[in-house]
Amino acid sequence: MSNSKSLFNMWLVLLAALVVAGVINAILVLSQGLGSYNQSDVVFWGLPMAGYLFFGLTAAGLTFLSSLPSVFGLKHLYPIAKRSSLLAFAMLLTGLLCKGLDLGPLSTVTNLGWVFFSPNLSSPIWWMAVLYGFYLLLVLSKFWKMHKGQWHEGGAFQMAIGALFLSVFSFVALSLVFGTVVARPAWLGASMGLTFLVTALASGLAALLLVTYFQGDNGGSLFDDLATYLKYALAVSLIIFLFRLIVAYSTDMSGFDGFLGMSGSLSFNLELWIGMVIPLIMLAFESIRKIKGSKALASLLVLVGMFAGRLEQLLSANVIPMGVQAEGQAHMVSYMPSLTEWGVIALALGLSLGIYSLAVRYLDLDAIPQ
Amino acid sequence: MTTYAMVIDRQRCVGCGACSVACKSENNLSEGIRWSDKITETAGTFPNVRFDYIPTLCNHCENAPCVKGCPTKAMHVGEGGIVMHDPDKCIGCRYCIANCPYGVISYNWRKPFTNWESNEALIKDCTISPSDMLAKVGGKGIPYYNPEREATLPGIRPTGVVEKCTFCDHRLKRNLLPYCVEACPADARIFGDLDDPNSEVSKLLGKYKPHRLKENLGTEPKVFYIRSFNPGTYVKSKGGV
Repeated sequence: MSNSKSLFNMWLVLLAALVVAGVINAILVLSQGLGSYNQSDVVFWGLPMAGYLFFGLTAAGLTFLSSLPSVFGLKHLYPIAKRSSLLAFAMLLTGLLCKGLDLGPLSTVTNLGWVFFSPNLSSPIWWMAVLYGFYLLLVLSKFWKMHKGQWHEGGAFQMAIGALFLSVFSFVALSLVFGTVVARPAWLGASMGLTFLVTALASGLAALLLVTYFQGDNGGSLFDDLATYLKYALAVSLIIFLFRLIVAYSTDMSGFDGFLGMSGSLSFNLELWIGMVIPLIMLAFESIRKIKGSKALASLLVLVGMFAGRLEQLLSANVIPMGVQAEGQAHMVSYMPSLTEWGVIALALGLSLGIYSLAVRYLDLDAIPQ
Repeated sequence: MTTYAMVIDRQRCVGCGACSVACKSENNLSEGIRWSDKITETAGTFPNVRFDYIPTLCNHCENAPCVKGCPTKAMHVGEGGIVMHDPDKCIGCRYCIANCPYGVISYNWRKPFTNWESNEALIKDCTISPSDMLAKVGGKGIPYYNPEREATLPGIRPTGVVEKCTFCDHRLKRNLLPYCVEACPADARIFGDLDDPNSEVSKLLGKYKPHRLKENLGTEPKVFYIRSFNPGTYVKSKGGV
């Protein structure tokens, strides 16, 4: 018992170190701007934006999962409802943090007030910002209701429905952010929404499986059910990825050059092999599935691959210089995230895992309705 | 109603880059920021090579995707149909850069003109340092600072916001032409009101078939290109097989 307690404390120390390093990094970014990022007017969105996509979309998947018992009546999933709800909140909060640290110095971040005072309703980014703001509040409120034991009273059901709708709408707005950029066809237009939908569910399931495993609740049928859902989500994700690949290889549009050019990159291969193919094989074959820890390992691989995938999705449309930016540049520019950019991810990871770890200890995440 | 537009006569343009230099000094542009630029293209195989030079700037599109996508209306359509940017409202999301098919919007990644803060002399014991030079002439950030730019925008745009060509709106307010037009030694840039049928731009667009960059995207740019530089001639023939 004391051994597990000291392990837990060490884990908290590690997360605290990540958060402290991340906070120092954030202060640097907020005081000096994004000059320490290895980004440019060509690669204008990099690792922090990929972090935002990863955490934000994983949160969308988790919100959907946490709504399954209360909204869709899948009562056997109640044991994961509170857990996934809290994890969705932690992921969403840190995702928004990543985006905040991708805007610029404090003087720019404070301009966010204009989102309310000077709204542009034709802008997908405006809708995304507003919906994500409300979504965060509702996810937190929904968790609070669960924590108070008010699973079916005091508007809890409406809150669960609201959180589900907002997760869907904010996810749609996020898809539109990319899908409406006609200048960059590699973001696949409306099809990006489908990619986000399936991969969000896959990464949400993977995150939930992983934390469930570490909570020791890994032998039951619920754990197996989640692994089965993940297997199907991965299979569909792989089909959509192959669809992107086929479109890119068969089209004459030069806008897909970036995606094709990235097929030899680390992020592309991590996404395909580590994020989809290998975990799918691990979950598809019973002989592998039965090995202790294999489902958790598959989930970890999915998360690593999905994170790389978010970066690949961003870069596929902006590694080829646009218009006059191509002057004096290589046909395809390279991008290697700086330490400061990794610092943003370290902060997000430390914070989300820290919130979850403390919640495990103090907030009884296994609670179910009476 | 006034709708400002620019015609660039590629027959007259000699590719000297005076437009870009003039723009840099008029608008106090920091390192790496170019509101006026050029695309150079080569076609053919040596020795039968053709070199094309296409001057570029913000196209001030009628259907500007940067304006449509800006969440706070920092990017907006101003007087005369000029696409303007308000740095005080900019949240630095860079969605305008994502949306612009022409690559003419720049983000201020770093503090501008930091090289002028250096205390080190360019040549030791010979020249003064950049910061001494700055103090001597009393410039704001740069010795050649143009205070007239402050009429409609911050003289130097701050870190963390985007910036782009404004058709020198501060000069237009004083009935002066954009400075790139004024500085062009070949008169290759012609500026005027599209809504005035007697303006020079309207006359040229009526006389020559213009083309615009990436017209297929439907952005309706207001920078038009006419003619094409080609001083050569060739011996008439029907080719061969």
